[in-house]
Amino acid sequence: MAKKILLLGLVLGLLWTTAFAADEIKVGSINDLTGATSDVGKDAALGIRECVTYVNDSGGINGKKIKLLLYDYGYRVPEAMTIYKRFRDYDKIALLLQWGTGDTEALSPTVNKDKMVTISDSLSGHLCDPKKTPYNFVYSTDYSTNARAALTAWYEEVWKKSDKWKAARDAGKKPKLVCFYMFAAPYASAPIKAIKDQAQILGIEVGKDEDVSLTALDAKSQVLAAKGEEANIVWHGNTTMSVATAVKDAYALKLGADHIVNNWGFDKNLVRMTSQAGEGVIGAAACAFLGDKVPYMDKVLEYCKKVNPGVPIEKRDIRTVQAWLKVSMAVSGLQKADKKGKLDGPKIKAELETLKDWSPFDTPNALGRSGYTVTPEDHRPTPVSLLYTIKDGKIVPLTQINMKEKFPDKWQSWLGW
Amino acid sequence: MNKALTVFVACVAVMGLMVLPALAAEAPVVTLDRVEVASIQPFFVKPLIKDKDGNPKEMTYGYSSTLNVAYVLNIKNPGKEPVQLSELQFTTAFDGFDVNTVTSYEGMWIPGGKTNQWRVIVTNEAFPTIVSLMVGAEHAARIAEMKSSAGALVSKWWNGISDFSFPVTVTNGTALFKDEKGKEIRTTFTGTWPKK
Repeated sequence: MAKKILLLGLVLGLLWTTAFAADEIKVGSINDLTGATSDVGKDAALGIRECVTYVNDSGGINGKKIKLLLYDYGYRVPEAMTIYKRFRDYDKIALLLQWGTGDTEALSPTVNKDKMVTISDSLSGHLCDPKKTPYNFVYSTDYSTNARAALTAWYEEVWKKSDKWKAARDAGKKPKLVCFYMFAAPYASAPIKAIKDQAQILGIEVGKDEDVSLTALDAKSQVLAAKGEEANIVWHGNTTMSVATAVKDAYALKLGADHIVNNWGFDKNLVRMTSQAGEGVIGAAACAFLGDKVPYMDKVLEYCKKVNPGVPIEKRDIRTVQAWLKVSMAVSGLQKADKKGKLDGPKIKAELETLKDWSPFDTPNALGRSGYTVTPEDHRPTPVSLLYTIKDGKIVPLTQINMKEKFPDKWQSWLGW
Repeated sequence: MNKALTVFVACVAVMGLMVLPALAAEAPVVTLDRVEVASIQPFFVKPLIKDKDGNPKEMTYGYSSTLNVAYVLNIKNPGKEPVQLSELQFTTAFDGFDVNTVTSYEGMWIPGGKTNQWRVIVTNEAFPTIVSLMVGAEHAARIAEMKSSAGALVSKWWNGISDFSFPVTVTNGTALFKDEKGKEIRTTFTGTWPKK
């Protein structure tokens, strides 16, 4: 009997020790902390670490902790490739988190050859067609869908209804779109084909594109060119700083057009930097804004303070919430694959492709998103575009458009745009 | 039976002793000991490659110089049990402008009651540093107030770093430690060089 109890004690001890030394699951993350998109990249990187800490504190991946390896690539594609090879060959990561459209699209042939699941902050529509990029996933409405939805919302809610455009409407004038974006930036150029196609569908004329740098401190010449085109609506495809420059110059030079902005150019910094010039700007959002009253926002705020107490909460932004959405999707795939006993690329991919009416952390409307469905034929997680506007110096909801329901005969043909 | 019970209680007690130090572990303390210039190239951001006529060649990407700065940290373990540094990250700032964020994942054990030193070398490049100053909303506003430019600031830093003619700061430092049982301890730190 004594021997049995002694054995039991030893087994308990062994289990105790093993519990502390549980396996780790390595996740690699490539982020921009110092490059041309670092204005939004730093907040996102903080959010990734905070969400991973929350996941680990909450039991990890079926008891296994995530070991996050996060590196800066300065928005330089060659550095991203080097970091990825290190992740693949040395760290042996289970899943990759990526940042920009340039590096995600450049690495796409490699990760697909390596069967490495990657979830990117690039929401480029090009990454959503599994026939071309089977291991690439995005965590929110893709840029092309957002661009189409923003233009549609403006056309229906502003052009058709507002007093501002009544005279033009009554005169039978067709509205005119001009696109402001950095031609050489893959992120900025990704949805241009789609928004021009949408303009054609809605009967909107398209003017000449204007090349605006991501680091632009002056966009007067581009604004004057758009004025010459008599533009009614301007699509801004850059990040916040550049968009703010263009919106302010448009206000100063009395362009008179309205503005619609892709999600990486629309946040509270835009409000801060544009003040009066920003009133009425419409922007897409990937999820709820930081501080919005949605499930799990309390955890986001708690872990901002817990993991990065040195960064004041007023300096944090929606990019943190996006990071949580991205990590929660990754965690969902990892948990399901791990439960089935095999944590490799094909298994994680297969599990992500079973997401149906999914919400972050399996909680409806957590982080402001719900109803994600990903299939082996279509990696666009949702056709719903969240659109906001700036009113009285605040970002307020404008509308949500389900582009699949609104354009059912077109939706499938837009895959991969 | 009594003997068996004694053995069982002893086993549980041993396990308890294994756990107690973890529960009582004190948070390590990280401080900035000093900052050194590890290596520097003179400031430039224009192409240095010239064509056969001696004119700078057109570059599709900014050419620039590198400044490697070493941050030497003291990592003190005030507890009795050893702890392992698991990961460490911090943001570096010149003149109060964030210029880099670094992460170190190398593991290092620190004996109880001892202080180790950890050197983290951070690479800064002139051109990307200028770009990052230009896209940061707060940076841009402050530079405008100073009636300066991102390029002028970076040039000043490259030329003045050897004398530390401006404050070099470490902000939002966080370090993650693990004790022998795997229990995690997180600590935060900041620091400025030169010290006043």
